[in-house]
Amino acid sequence: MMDAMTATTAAMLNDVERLRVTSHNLANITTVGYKREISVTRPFLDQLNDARGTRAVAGKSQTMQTTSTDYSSGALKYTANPLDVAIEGSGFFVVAAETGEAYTRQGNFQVDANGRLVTGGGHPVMGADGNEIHLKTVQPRIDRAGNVTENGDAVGRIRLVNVTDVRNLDRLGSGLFSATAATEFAEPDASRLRQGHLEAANVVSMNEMIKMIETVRHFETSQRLLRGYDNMLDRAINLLGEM
Amino acid sequence: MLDSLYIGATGMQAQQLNVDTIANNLANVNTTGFKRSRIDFEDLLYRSMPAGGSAANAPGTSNRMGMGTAVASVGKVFTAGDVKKTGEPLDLAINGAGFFEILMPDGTLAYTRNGAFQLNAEGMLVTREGHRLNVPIQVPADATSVQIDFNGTVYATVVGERRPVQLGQIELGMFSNPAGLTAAGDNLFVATEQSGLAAIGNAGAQGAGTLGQGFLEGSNVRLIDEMVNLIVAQRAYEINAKVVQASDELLTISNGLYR
Repeated sequence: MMDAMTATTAAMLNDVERLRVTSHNLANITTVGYKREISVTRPFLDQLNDARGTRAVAGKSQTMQTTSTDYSSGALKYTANPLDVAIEGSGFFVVAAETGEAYTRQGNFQVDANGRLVTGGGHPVMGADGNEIHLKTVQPRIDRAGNVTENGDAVGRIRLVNVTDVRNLDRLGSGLFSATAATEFAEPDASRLRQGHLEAANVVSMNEMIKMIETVRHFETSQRLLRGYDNMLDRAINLLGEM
Repeated sequence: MLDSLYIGATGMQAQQLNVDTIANNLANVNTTGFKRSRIDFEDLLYRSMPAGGSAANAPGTSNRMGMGTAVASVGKVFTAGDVKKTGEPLDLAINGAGFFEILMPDGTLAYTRNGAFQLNAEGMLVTREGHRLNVPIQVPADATSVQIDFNGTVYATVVGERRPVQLGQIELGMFSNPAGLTAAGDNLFVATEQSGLAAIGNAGAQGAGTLGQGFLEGSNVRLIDEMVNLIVAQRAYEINAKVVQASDELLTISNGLYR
C-alpha cells in the first residue's frame, strides 16, 4: 500500500519538474539561438537503487528527472543588422567566458568600447587565429566562411567549431555551452555563416502547450489516485477497526 | 514554491519589455534620425538539481536546470535610415557612420544623427531644440545662401563678395560601439563607458560618413518587422501567462490532496 503511494508521489513530483522544463522553454521562446530542454525521467529501477543506498539528499527530495538538450537548428530570421550572424547547419561560435572557452549559437554580436566583437552578453568572440576580433566600425562584412572585412581590409576570421557528439556539452546558461572531458571537436565543414540573420529558438510553442496540458492532467490523475489510496486506508483503519 | 510559476513570470516580464521596446520604435517611425532599439534575451542561470544518487547520468543528460529568461541587452541598432530629400539648405543627412556633436546648455556634449538644423538669432547653426554644434558655425546676417559640401565645409554666399566665404567645418564624432550610447531623448545620445569616447574628424575621413545637404535621414524602423515582432511578443506573453495558469492549477490540485 505505502509503495503505491510512494510511486504516485514520485509521479507527481515528476510532473512538477516536467512543467519546469516546459515553462523554461516557453520563457525563452524569443531568446536568440536558444536550444530546447527535454525532460528525461530516470528509470524507476535506478531511483529504487538510489533509495536503497544510503545517499540521502538533505533538504530536497531526490529527483527522478534529468534534462537533455535538443540541438536542432532554429529558423533563421532576417534582421538586416550587419552584426547579426547565424550559423547554417551545425557548429558553434567560440567565445571567451569567465570560466574559459565557451560555445554558443547566439550570433547577436556587438562591438564593445574597446572595438572588440562581443556577444550580446559581452563575451569576446574568438577568431580562427585564437585572438579577439577588433573592429573599427559597426558595419563589417562577414562572408559565408566567417572572414570579416572592413572597407576591403581583412580584420579576422570568426572561429567555428563542430562538436562530434553534442551530448557531451554542458549548459552554462546565457546561451553558452562548455566542453566536458568527453567533448571532441572537429573543424566545421558544412557550417556556413549568414550575416544579417539570427537563429530563432528551436522551441515549438504547440508542442510545449500539448506537453503542458498532458503534464497538468497527469498530475490531476495522480492526485485522484492518491486520494483513492487515501480512501482505502481510511476504510481499512475505520471499518476494520469497527469489526 | 513552484519553479514553473516564477519561470513563467520571467517570461511575462521579458515580453512586457519587448512590447515596450516595439511600441517606442513604432511611435518613432517618422522621427528624423531615430534609431530603433532592440532587446535581446538570454536563458537564465542553470542550477544543479541534487544529484540523483550514485548512478551516472545517461549520456547527453544533465542535472542542470534552467530558471527562465532575462534581458541580455537593450541596444540601439545603428543601421542607416532612409534618406529623404527636403531641399532645405540647412538639412543634413549623414551618409555612413558618425554623429553631429552638440553642445548642451549645461556644457556637456551630446550626439545626434538628426541633421535638421536651423539658425538662431545670432546666426548660429542650432538643432531644433536650439542647441548649437560644439564647433560653432555662424552664418553672417547678409548671407544669401549657405552651401555645405560632402566633407562638412560650410560656405556662404555674401552680398558684395564674388566668391563664397568659408564659414567653418562641421565635424562628426565616431564611436567604436555606438550601440553602447545612451539615448537622452530629443534624438540625442550621450557617450558612456560602453560606447567609448568620440573620435572627432571631418566627414568623409577615417570611416566617417559624408554629408548630404538638403537631405534628412529618416528613422531606421521597419514597420513590417516591428509588426511581426509585436505579434510574436504578444503571443509569447500569452503563452507565458498560460504557464503561470497551469502552475496555479498544479498548486490547486496538490492542495486538494488533503480533504
